[in-house]
Amino acid sequence: MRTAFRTIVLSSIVAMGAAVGGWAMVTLVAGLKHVDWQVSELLRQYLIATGIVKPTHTLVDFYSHIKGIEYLICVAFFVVFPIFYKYVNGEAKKVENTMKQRARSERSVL
Amino acid sequence: MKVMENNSEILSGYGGGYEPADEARISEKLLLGLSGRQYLDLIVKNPVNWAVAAILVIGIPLLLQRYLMGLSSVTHGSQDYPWGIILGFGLFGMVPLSASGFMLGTTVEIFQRADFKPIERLALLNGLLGYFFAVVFLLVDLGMPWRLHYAMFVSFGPAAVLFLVAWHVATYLSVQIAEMLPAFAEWANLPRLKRFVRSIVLGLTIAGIILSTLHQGALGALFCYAPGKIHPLWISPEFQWLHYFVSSIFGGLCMVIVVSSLVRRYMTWRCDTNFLGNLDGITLGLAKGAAMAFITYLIIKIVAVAHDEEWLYLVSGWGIYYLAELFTMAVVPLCLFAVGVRHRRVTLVRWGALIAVLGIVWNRLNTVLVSYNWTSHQEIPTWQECWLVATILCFYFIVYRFVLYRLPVLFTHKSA
Repeated sequence: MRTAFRTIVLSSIVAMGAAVGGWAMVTLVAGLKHVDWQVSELLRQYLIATGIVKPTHTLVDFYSHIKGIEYLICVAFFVVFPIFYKYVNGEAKKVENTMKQRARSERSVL
Repeated sequence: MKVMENNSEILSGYGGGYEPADEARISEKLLLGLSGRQYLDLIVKNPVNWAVAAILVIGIPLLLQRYLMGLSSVTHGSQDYPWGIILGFGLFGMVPLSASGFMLGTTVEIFQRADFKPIERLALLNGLLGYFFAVVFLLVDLGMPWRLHYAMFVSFGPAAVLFLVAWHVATYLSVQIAEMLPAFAEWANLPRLKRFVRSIVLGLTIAGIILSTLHQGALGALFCYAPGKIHPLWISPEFQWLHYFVSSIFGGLCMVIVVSSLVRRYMTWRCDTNFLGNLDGITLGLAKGAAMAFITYLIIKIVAVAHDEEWLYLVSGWGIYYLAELFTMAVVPLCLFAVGVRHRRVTLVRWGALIAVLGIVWNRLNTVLVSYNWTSHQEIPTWQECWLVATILCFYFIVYRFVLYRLPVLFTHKSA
């Protein structure tokens, strides 16, 4: 009973996925045909249509927009950089420990 | 590859690890303790020398043609395309790869990191020769070498970026020559000269930092002369100097990694155990520093795109080309360096360094040639122009190898 239910659920998900995927594929192909098969042009139109890229009318608007994005990038960097630093220095920590251990063992010999 | 290794063995057999006695004659030191016949034999047996000779046989007459008949006889250079491949590669490409001198000078002399001492002289030599040959490339492009001082003294233009560049290159080249003098003094047995230079080395290093950082940035600022001609993705007037300066940090470090890997492979006989034994650790240390520069560069490039609101350009053909360059120059080496350092995989770091070096050259060529006049026509360098670049690179290779064979750069002199 449980197996049959799982099969029905899985089949439904696959069918829905296939339908959505098929629809997305048709839309994509139709969109590409509309812009003479230029991927970059389609992307450009998508960015404008979704409002990610929009025209600005005053210098204040322009600066508010670009500075907002720049600050977000900087905040992201403040998060990413320490993680990256920690990742790169992961091995050095081990070496440091080994050195400390060596120093400790030398001290014990002395 | 095998043949070159064999040649290295022959050299080891003749005079490998040769260190002249202090009282040895200059001719003996120059010939590495071999007779003239043996030395000539060595040159003839090396297939690399034949390749170099083949390039020079055509290149030297081309060089003469350039000076006798003018630049237009060998290049497509014009008022529209003032910077061809000669400057694009020779000046803009080689200078960031020569930032190694001030980087390692600072590390060893200012921060007192003695663990990088074995590679310091190689980095200084790399910087010195890189800058020197950048000037040679400039002379080939400009012509009239007897008027080299005009930019500094005669046509006195303190408001011009080129005035700044000319002064920086001239003074920094002098500083780098002074920094390499101790190696020459050891080779020529001039202990007083060495003592004198050592006494002023801190001042030289500080001068090197000031001049080199300003100069690297100024090279980027040169493009602000023609912001409208360059594709917006390759020019960002507010950030250009910063992009050039930060890329020179990892450029210099990567170039030292590449050169040290090559000498370790093909010039083992000239390296001492201090150099060979510490090289892997040093390479990882350099890679760690370069990785920090890579991630900084990547972020400031993205900030520049955001600042100039160039997101739309990224989804064009130019944008895809730009992203390919950025991936080659920064993202791929960044990943290779991070993984290489963390897992202590030196080979990975060495490949990453090579990719970064090629990426920097690609970036400079893209700025000078490919994205230049992007709205009009595309400059295609003539074969003569490319051959001239290869010719000067051959001279660079010959001088580099000549110095490495003789001066105590890869080995510690007994008097040190």
